[in-house]
Amino acid sequence: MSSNRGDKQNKSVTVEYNGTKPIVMVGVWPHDVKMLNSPDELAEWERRMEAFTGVKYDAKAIIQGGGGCCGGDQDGMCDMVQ
Amino acid sequence: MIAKKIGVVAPLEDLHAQAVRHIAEKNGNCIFHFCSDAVSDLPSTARFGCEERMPSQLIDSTGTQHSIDEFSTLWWRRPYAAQRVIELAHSSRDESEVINNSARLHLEGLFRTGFRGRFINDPSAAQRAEHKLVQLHSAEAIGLRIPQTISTNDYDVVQSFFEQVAGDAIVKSHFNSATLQIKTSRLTRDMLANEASVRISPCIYQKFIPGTEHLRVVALKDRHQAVRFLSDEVDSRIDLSHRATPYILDANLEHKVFALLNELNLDFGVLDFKRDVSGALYFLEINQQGQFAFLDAVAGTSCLPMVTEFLLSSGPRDHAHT
Repeated sequence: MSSNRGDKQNKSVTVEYNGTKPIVMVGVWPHDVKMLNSPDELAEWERRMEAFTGVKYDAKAIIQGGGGCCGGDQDGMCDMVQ
Repeated sequence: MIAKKIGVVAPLEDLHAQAVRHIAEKNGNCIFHFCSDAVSDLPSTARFGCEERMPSQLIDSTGTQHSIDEFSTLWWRRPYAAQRVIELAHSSRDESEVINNSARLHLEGLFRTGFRGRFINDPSAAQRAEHKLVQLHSAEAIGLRIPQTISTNDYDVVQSFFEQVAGDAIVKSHFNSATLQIKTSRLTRDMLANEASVRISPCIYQKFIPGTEHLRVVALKDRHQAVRFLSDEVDSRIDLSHRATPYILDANLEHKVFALLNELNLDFGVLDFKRDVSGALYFLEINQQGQFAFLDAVAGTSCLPMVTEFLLSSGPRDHAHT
């Protein structure tokens, strides 16, 4: 599907949308977020969370459940999961 | 005398809901949990047009029935959640849409019509505050510094902005969901080569703020705690490798944090800031129900007890809701 751009200089430019991905889904951040990976790191986080909240949590499940929006700079941090 | 009950509306396994309930119970108090993702397990009823007016009835996570008019405070934590029953029912996409939207509208309608106490946060204010443009507009209005920002799908405007900031720009989405999370990314000339990709979806473009210091502020109407992260990458919610320490806001910033909550008609919010290399602090965004439990774990703050105490001590507003 395409449409005329309605250019300000009255030049007609056709924009082709077929297969277009929104620009916000195209880019990547130059570095990945540092996530906890090792069993020791995850266990330490779980220990701390249980100490503070009294609730046992599965760190891997929380990572897998979301939080990807925390990864970019100037993102702010995720509020969508838990 | 009106009984004073406190409730939280959130999915069954919501970490924050469970944590504040645990803290409350340790101190002999009770916060009732209404599961926004388990409507099929915990039926509720609102009645209208009946001869005798009956308050709406709903069941909490323990199976106990309550009348909605017994509550003075309701933490409107995660009221819109995908229903757990969908997986059990192997529902189609259309069926899932009906199930989820019916649950959402029923619950919200039930609380909006029957609850006379204090929402944390008011649903209408919460919805408005979810808009990133509203956040930036309000932050600027009360005197917080914000990055140079455009929200557009005009290709010429984006190109012009890119040149104006000498290529130091980021692009971020207006929206994220629990199932689709779109990371903010650096804007490149290659990305801008495709005009269609700009026009197809308006986005937020901002001047990149160079720096390594981030602040996360957990703010309530009359109290707050803050954490400073030092990193050239933004850490995840549970990254223990970056330095994170409790941080005391100066009086000016504290005043503006509360002013922003007031401007947005919120009782609670989690604010994110970034300091640039010259020391200037920029407001990035406010999440009206942002995550904060992990801050207690990584930085030793006491945000969970603070929020719990606030919920237990909150009373109805003069104008409870609209």
